[in-house]
Amino acid sequence: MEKLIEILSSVRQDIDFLNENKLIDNGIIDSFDLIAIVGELNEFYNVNIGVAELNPENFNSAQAILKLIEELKK
Amino acid sequence: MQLTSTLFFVFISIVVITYYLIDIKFQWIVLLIASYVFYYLASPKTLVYLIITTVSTFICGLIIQSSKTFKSGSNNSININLIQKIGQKKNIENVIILIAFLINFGILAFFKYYDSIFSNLNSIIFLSPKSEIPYSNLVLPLGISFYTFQSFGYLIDIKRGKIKSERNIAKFALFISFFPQIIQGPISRYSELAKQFFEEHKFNYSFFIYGSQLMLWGYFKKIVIADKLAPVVNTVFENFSNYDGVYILLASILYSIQIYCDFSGGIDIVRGLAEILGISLPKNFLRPFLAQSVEEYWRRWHITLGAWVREYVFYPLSLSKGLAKLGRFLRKFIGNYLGKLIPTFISMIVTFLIIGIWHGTQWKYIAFGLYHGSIIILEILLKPISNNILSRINYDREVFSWHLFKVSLTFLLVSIGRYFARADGFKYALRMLKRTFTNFNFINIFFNKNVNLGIDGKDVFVIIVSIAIVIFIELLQESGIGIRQKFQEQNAPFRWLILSILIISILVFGSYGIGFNENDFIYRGF
Repeated sequence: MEKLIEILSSVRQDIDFLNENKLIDNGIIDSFDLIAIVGELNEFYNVNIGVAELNPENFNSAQAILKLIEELKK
Repeated sequence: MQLTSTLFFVFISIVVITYYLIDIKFQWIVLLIASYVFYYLASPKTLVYLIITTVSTFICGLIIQSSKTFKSGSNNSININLIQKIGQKKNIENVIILIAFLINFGILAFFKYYDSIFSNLNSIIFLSPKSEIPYSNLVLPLGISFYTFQSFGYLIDIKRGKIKSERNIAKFALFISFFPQIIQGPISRYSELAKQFFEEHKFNYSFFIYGSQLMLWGYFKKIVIADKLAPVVNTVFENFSNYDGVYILLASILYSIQIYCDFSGGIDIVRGLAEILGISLPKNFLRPFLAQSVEEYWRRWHITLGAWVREYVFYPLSLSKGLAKLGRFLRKFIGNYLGKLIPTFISMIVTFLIIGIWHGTQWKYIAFGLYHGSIIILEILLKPISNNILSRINYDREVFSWHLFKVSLTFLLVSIGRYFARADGFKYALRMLKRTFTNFNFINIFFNKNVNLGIDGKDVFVIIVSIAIVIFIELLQESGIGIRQKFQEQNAPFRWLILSILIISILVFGSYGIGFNENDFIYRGF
């Protein structure tokens, strides 16, 4: 989780990714952030997050993102 | 068959009556037969291309689905058919997507772009008339840009696991050919449209009334406004060198209104007809001229095309490895802000180029796409700067006048973009722009009484009143009022009075009569 927060914070330093759970629903991150975040995640975790995974429920919180990565790594 | 012709009304009456009289389980078959009869009557020589797209997409969908089933290990049977055998090959999904792309977009490109590509080639390599590459004079298959995009979206959705492939080719054929939407969209998704065909549809009086009202509203916009504006727009655009810049800009603004009333009117007719049949088609417009930025305009204009390119071009490109690498590199060296924006801007420009080319390959359409993409990029870059300045001077951005300013500016920017879309070619669009800015002569609009705009005083009055009615209705809708529900709550005499006025105004003020050429829908040509 620590590494994930570090990656997310490298894209947006001003967000408390550890406690925020409506990142998409409340418009806290925009599509530019989302695209940059996915690029970082795909590279670091060696996964392939594609358009099919770009749902709000997968990106609303750091926990949801971690869950998505774990599922894709299976 | 024109949507405004008597034959069309006879046709839809027969379809609707048969649809509701026949056994419910055969309703979709009535729609399939009606769709193919409609297509044959409207575009007999090109029916074969619709069939090629249908069959090839259907088979490709089965193979991709079979590959997914194989990968998930849920198909363990020993006796497998040819499609299942192909589906077991490695990387088959990408190969099949590529084959489907080459077949269907190949047909689209051949029909749509053959003439314009070779006219460009002829002019670039200066061939003598004898050795010029001949023009094909091909008839564009009806709805090809719409059904090609719709069918390709279907395959990608199967590949992404969002839907399962259709196993009945006749049912799939209906999804591709559904007659109300084949002419000019909306581009539908299989997950939203297909299931509706096979549900039970009992005659519903409310759907019938709502659908008929929507059709009537569409005819009003198309026949009373769009077709009446066509002569003014055509006159000025075809002879722009005879007009001051102010008239050229006015014609472009009128063209914005014409194309909106034409396209959204056509979509209202199509959606209204589908509603009568108990089928809900996606919205294609959400009052685009009330948008407060060009970016917002594209979320309200031709929504289904915008959604298609966003889903199948913009996001896949933005998430591609190459652009992700570029983003990381840029964020390291030029900072987080621009490093994040630039790769997305590249995807945006490519997406708008595709929107431009979707309309045609002439340079003017490429310029049209680049113009819109560039304006949106400028909006994104300038927004923080303008917000900063306005905050510093304590300028209230929540007041009506500021919203009005932004709506007007957006409308003006979009109308300037129409120079490219409507002019006879890119160089003419540039000449028109030059004339607008160097020879504007605003004052002439008040004092020059001898300008011929191809329209008489009575028509001007009808157009102004009709546009005012559309603006009034759209403002009500924008404020959250459901016009059709509110209308239905009124007493019957009032409702019939309004409907009669609408019908009479279409019949009396619409553009008909001897010597009048019925205008086809503009987007039917795309």
